[in-house]
Amino acid sequence: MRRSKREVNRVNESQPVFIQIMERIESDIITGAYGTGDLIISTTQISKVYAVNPTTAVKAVSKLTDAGILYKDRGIGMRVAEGAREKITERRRAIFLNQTIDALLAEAKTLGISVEEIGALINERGKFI
Amino acid sequence: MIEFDNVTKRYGGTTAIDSIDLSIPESGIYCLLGRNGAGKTTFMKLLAGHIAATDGVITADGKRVSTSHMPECVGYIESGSAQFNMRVSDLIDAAAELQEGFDHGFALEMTTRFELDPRKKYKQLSFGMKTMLTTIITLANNTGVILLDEPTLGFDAIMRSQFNTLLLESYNAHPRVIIVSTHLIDEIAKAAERLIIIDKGRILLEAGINDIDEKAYTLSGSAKAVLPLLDGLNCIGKTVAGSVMAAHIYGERITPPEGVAADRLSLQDFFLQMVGGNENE
Amino acid sequence: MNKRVWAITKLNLKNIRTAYFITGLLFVMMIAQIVVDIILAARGHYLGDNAGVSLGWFLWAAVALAAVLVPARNFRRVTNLGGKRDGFRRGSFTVYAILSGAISLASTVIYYALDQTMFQSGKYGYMLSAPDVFGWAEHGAAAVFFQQFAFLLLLAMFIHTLTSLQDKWYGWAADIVLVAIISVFPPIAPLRSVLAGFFWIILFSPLPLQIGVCLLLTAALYALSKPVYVRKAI
Repeated sequence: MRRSKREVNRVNESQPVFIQIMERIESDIITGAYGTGDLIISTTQISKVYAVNPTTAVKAVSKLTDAGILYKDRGIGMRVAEGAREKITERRRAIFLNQTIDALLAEAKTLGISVEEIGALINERGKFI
Repeated sequence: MIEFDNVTKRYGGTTAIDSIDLSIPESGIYCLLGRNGAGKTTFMKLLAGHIAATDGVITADGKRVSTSHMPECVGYIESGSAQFNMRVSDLIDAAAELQEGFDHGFALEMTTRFELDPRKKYKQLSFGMKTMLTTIITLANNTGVILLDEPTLGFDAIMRSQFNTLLLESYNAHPRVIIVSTHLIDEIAKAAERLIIIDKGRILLEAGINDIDEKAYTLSGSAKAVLPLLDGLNCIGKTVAGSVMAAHIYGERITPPEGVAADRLSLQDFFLQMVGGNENE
Repeated sequence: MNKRVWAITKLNLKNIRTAYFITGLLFVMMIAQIVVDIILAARGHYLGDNAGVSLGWFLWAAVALAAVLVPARNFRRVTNLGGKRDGFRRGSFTVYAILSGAISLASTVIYYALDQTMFQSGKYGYMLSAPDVFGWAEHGAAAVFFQQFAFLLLLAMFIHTLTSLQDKWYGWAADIVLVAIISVFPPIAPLRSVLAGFFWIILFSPLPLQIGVCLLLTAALYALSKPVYVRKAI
């Protein structure tokens, strides 16, 4: 059963390459490095900076476009869409609330820690953040 | 651009390439992955017109490839091949004279970046530097189809990463078909666009690396929980340890029930499962 | 000639150092022998019964060795730099033409400048040199050069083609046939005369016939090398 903990960690650290790139761009939007309407680096530059195949860069960018996070400014490049930051935050919140909490509770269950104990611990720790 | 139509190559009694059908219609970086002796070099030699196919037809740029018509558009140098014992700079000059579309400036720039001393003679180079020279001479060709045979053999980690950067730079400057053969899918996986897995002379898989990244995953949990999930899934290999089972899947992702974890399968693990998966059962 | 054939020619000329080295060594040894002879003659030794051997003969080794090294060593190396089969075939022929020309010229100069003076100086009873032995000198310097050139070119193409075949079964078959001809023909009178006739034509026969036959056979070997190189494994 120790195996499951190790594997839960692995999910987070090894993602498909294009998802890793999507997440880096998303993080730059969340932190404010890119504001609404800002031009993001081109797929050629992504390919160069992260040393990945251009198609991988294109895939990451087109997935972000499909998700409404980027939009195409014809002839110029890709820009950050209106409300992109909220969308990303919302999605990451959903992931956190569903998957991360579920994984936490499942692990707690296998270790014999009750939901009440977890709740108390979260309240306790929350005071210091 | 490249077509293999039912191509077979036999050496005496052994079949090195076994009725391969493959089509590479457009430019891109392709990773040809296979174990030692899987047929990677034979595949490249056939495409370069170095050896003749026993059966089948190969075309490059619409023209049929044969030993009497070594395709002008295909650049290939066998890894670990013999070279004239001349200075590195003289070998590069000679290659520039012998090959159509050879980018002399790029070749010289690469020797500088990889700290390959142009005044050294070939026999004075270390194993890794010899590979480096072969790789430079092949990659400096800007036209048609480039076949890189184990281009990072003997490289250290830094050289491998530098090679990756150069490969992408060269490709971005001159998009063309670049086929990179390797038995280790390390940094090359990031640079490549499509993966061709060859085993025992046959093509096991030809797919986009991003697709594989999405489709290859592992379901792990108790055997009782995992086994029923496998119905209808393309299971490429299983690892069983006691009551715990890890099943490697290539196909649509499913949301696993509680008690079963779905993890990404790395490309190297995916390759191991594809070529040797059954041995684990 | 196209640029790439010339590039292969240059690569080949640069990379037959063993041929140059051995030829140079033979040449130096012969010069040493001549120097010893001159010293002996100066001290009053009689050399009239000794045959002087022309230096020109030893230069032929360069052509013969090049015709082994080019296909056996250089073929793979040229293709490993991106050279193509047919370019190599043409580039090799150009090498033999250049070497045969250069060696024939040098040998002609040696014949007139050195052999003649040495013989006339009376130190040797007779001088063994190709232009005398094969009768080329009877028609003047141009004949000495061109007849020798035609023969050397044929010799080079023959060795080249035979060496190129060695990685295939028919190469071995050709070896066996040659050994058979050399060992079986001489003892049998009619066959012996065939063999003698052949060598007479390519070496001794009158100028137009000798040059014509040599060039014709060279052309035939050159044509034969095409299918040989198509099949040659890299």
